[in-house]
Amino acid sequence: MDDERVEDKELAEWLRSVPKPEDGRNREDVLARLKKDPRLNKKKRLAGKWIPAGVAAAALLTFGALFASMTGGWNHAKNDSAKEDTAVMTRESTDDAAPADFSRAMDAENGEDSQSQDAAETAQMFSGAVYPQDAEGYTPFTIGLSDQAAAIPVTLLIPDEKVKEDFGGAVPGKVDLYNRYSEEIGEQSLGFDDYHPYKGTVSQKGGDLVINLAPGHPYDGSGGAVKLLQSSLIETFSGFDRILLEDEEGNPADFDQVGKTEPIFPESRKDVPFYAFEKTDGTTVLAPDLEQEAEDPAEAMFLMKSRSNDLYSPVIPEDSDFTVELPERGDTLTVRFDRPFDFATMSPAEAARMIDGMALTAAGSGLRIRFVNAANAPAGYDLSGPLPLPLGPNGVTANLRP
Amino acid sequence: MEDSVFHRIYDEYHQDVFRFLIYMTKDRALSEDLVHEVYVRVLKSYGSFEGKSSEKTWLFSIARNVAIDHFRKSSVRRRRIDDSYDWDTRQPESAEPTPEEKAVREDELGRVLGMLEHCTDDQRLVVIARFLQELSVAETAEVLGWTQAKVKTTQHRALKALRSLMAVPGEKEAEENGR
Repeated sequence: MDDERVEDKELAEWLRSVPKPEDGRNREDVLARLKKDPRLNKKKRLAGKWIPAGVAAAALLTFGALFASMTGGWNHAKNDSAKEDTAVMTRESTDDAAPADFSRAMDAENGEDSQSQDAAETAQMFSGAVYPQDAEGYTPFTIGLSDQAAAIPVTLLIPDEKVKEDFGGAVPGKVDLYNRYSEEIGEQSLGFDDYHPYKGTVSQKGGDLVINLAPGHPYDGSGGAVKLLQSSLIETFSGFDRILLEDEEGNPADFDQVGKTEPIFPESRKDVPFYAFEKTDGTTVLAPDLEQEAEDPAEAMFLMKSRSNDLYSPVIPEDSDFTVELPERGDTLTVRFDRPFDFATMSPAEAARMIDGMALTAAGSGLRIRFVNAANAPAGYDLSGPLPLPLGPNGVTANLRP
Repeated sequence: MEDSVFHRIYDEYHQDVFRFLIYMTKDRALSEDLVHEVYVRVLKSYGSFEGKSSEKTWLFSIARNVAIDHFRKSSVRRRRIDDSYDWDTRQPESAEPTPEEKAVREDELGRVLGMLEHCTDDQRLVVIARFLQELSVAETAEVLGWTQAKVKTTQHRALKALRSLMAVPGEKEAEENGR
């Protein structure tokens, strides 16, 4: 045995011989404290507490709108993750400039049959997050739409061919995409308020996004209106250094409610927890609650377990226990469950919402997510490794006829 | 809440789990709080424990997660005060030694824990698990979610680091005090 191994052995023995501290409390004290803990005194939650699959399917049927200028329309997009949640939209083809009517049909039992309809006229929605493989052939553009005075990010998937045609082959930035397409979103057909385009001009100056508000704009009516505008801008123009609200002369906008506006720093709101958001029309989408403050994506994950207010519902069961490991290097955040987490105890829609919500929350910091000690994810999710980095929440495709 | 489960866990593992948390935090009062949190998690999930790992390693895994959660949250709290805190490079540590911690540091255990502060997180974990908790290599691997090869490699490096620290007693502490 060489010297080093002898030293290791002696060191190990010394470490083992070190006096061991004891908990001096008696058993009754420890037990009495546990008995007072409300977490151990509530009735066990039923696996089916979350909304039933059928209801979830209806809740997932959310969007149905179109780009008026396109010969096709905005539709739900969907991956294969939860076929029972199939939501199918059909529309009458139109050459009019005005948004066309959608007729919605949802058949949870016969999703396969529904899918057999003309692919150019039908589409299905994503279960919450848009992943790169879902967006092949499309240019994603996330925009903050409005419902119940909250900004809901929706990822519009614009066919690459359409973008190429509209921009002459140049690669458009967010401002270009917004100015080109925001007027053509049938927000109300999607179940949102008619909010876009912003009442003013949107431009880019270096790394800043500048919106010069038009006289008589509607954003000064209340503190809530200002807040909604700011939230919508953050959802639409993430990635900019600053968002500047200005009047027509280029001075900081002066609101009756809040005075002169300060620059908005979208990146300061990157670690925001996602929740399930029930829209006015009764459908459910994923949405971040910008009022929730988290210092990092790990803290944001824990915030996702509890209800922040009546609009936002948690997508992670409160009684799930896990640790979030932030990467020292690399781009993958790890969620490690204390005990095996079985996604099969949830409906596929709920499970997909939980996975997507967590993936989107991690993505706020540019991190992919990896689940450890979790099993039975819905079809379409491979939890054996990190999930791809989602491009955005709540996908809607624009289908064009050939 | 199943009292019988509590009593059995208490009889078999309470002191071990408490020690593990003392080693991790160097704070008795905090360890009492965290051991409570371990019990909460254990009692909530005991019904679904499938026995794929041993009960002992399952418990230590939970204790480890509870400790990591604590460090993460306390680091976040401190970072709110000190914007210069660098999550990627800083090691979690208690802000100021408590009177209890000072007392602990004066004895032999304190000397070990003091040296462990100069090790990496992984090295500290493996020394605590292998030598202070006296878990086997296989048990340590299970608790930490590592391969056994990683346990052995990290253990080797940890002992090397400790030998180095013991060769220059007080040097690191003097260095710290001189800052």
